[in-house]
Amino acid sequence: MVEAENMRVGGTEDRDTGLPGVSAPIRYQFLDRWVSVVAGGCVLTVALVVGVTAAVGWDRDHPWQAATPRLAHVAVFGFVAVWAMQRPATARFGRVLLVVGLLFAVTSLSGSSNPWLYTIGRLVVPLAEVGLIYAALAFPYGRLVLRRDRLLMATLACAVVVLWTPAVVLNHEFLVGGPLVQCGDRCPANVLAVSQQTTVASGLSSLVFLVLFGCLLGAAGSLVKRYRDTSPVLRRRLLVGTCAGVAYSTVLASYAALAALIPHAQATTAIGWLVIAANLVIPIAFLVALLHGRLIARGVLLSLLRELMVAPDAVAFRMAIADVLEDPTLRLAHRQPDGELIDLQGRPLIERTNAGRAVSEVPGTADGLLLVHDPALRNDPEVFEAVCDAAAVAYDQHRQRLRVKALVEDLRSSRERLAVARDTERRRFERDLHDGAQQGFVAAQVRLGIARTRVSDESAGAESALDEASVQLDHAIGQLRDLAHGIYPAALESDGVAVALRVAASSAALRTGVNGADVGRFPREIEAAVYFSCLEAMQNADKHAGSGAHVNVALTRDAHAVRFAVTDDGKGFDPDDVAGRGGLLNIRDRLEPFGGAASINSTRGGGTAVTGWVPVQAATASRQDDPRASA
Amino acid sequence: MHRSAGRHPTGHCTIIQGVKPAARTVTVMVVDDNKEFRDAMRDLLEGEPGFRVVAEAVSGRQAVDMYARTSPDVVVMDIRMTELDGIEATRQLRRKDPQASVVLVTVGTLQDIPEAARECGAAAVLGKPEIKSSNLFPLLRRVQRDR
Repeated sequence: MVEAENMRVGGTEDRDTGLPGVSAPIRYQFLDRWVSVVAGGCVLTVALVVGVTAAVGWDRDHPWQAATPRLAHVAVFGFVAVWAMQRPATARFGRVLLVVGLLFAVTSLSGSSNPWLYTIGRLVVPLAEVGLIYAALAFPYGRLVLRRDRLLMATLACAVVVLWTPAVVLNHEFLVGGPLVQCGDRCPANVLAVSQQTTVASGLSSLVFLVLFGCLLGAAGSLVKRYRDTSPVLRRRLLVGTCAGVAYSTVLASYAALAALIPHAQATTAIGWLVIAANLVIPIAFLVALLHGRLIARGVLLSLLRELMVAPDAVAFRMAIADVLEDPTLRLAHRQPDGELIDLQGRPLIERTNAGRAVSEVPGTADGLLLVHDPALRNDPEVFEAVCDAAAVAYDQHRQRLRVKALVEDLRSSRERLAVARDTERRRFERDLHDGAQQGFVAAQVRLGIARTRVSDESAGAESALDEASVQLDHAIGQLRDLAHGIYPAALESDGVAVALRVAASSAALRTGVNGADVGRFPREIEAAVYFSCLEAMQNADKHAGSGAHVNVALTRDAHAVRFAVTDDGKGFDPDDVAGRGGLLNIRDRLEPFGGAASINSTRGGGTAVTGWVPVQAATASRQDDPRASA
Repeated sequence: MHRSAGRHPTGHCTIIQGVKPAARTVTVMVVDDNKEFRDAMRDLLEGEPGFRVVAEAVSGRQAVDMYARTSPDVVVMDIRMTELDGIEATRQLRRKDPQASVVLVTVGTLQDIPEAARECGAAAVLGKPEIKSSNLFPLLRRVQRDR
């Protein structure tokens, strides 16, 4: 099963990749803004002081020649560092840049005529350049992610301490100064020198440069490998930063090689100027890289949100996240109480699929949504956490949508069941009347007829009583028949809605015509809905249209729906009159359970039209198979 | 005259055997799923000379099954029954015997009579509340005569 750590557990190391687990969520602290501003201000102040110190240093003829580029350099570092510190994800990187900028500021002291300041300035030069390599390897989060990078930096630190320090203390002059340190015989003395061992110092210095050369090439290779091995999204975000880091490492490595082999050659000086240019350019390159990465992250999130918000189901939801993170193997999962992972369809995620995968919790989801994904995605916590946050919001909305959709469907289904049950009950009641009371009355009527025949010659009184009873029974049978007809007309069952409406129209108070004999048959519940809707409209017309009005019922059917229109040329009414809407509500209650709708149009003196429809999809369902007795 | 009653295999109907109707006697099969109505019809018809109920059935299906064995002059059949309604039963009877005469009856009004009832081949359609000696007997005799 999956062995990866939960992404929200900080400081853990991924067992498969050797990469560190993602730290606790980066949350912006209000104080960070002030800390970064104050820190940036300090760097600028130090740079100014150092610059002025350098300007009044050993180069009296061109006091600003060396100071100006150094001041500009430090200012650029300070600006980029402060900008990076404004964002939680890159705040640490910003602090790294701040320290590197500070070191470069200190290197300006090499322009001073004071031996102590001069010595400090010369000592810090390699430290600043090593710091810049650290920044390149730690881009964009400010920490070394890979073991080989940490090893490289440790090697560089050892080289400086073990080789560079003896080289400094064994010579009264610094051997290689770079293009900006062209003081020659005017250079102040190295105050740290304890003896003059030029040959040993020169050898150590060359060795330092060779180690530096190897480590820089290693750093360039590591950057390229990290770029190739990382997730596609992070690869795009790292493109500019990686190019800048590789270019800088390569240029610095070239200078280190030349400084080790031919320290006083023109080529070395030329490459030295290139290093200075690179030192100036690289903070700007980091700024461009951060902006570029930010744009890509924003694009990823926008794309994700667009996809997630319209994802119709769990599969589309997963695909959306997998697409933006460019990890086609990504899966959504839940954890069972026994620890086993299952996908959103409840199927177990088998071990073969999960081998070498990382599992991250999507925070804030009600049911503990998990992502099973490529561990490399964790190397870009800014994007990954943002994706998780967006996924959490969208997932909860998705669940809410599904819940609402299910509720609406339940409600519609419930209304449909109620409507069907109501009509079924009507039919049952009508059949009970037909099979029970009506038949009994009819049988009694027949027997009364028999009795009437048998007593006619014997008792005139009995004959009269029987005739009276027969009349009363006829009346009762008629009433019972009308009641049964009103409950559920037999013609609706046997001949469909058009015929049933014609029967109803024949007993309407107003003259009523029915068109639509060719409308055909529909499922029983649809016919009942249309029939009782039209009947409601007809009864409303009888009540409100006024005497002398004419009513017309039109039934039509097309490929999509069965439609009806009940129109009259009566008095009409104001549609805003709430009292006039009661009938429409009844009709809607009839039609909406089957996906239909109704509307009413009326004006005072202009008649009324009630129209409605029911989808033909609902009407295409076959009728129930239970026997349909006629009349 | 000897008359014996036998049960239909389904147990729901009665076949009156051994009846040799006299000349011009109208033999009738009564088909209705309501026993009260069947009994009333039997009493009405048996009380009138020249009419004889030769079979009763509780559904259209039983009527179709029994028709060939009893060969009634007229079938008085309810339209609305649960197991094969009167209209479909009339069609089937008329397919087997085009001379079959069926009078359909219903508790509804004439408006309630399905359109199919007028096209299925029935000789007449009669409302049950209108059944009286004065109109039933002439109707049955006319139907028998018109076969």
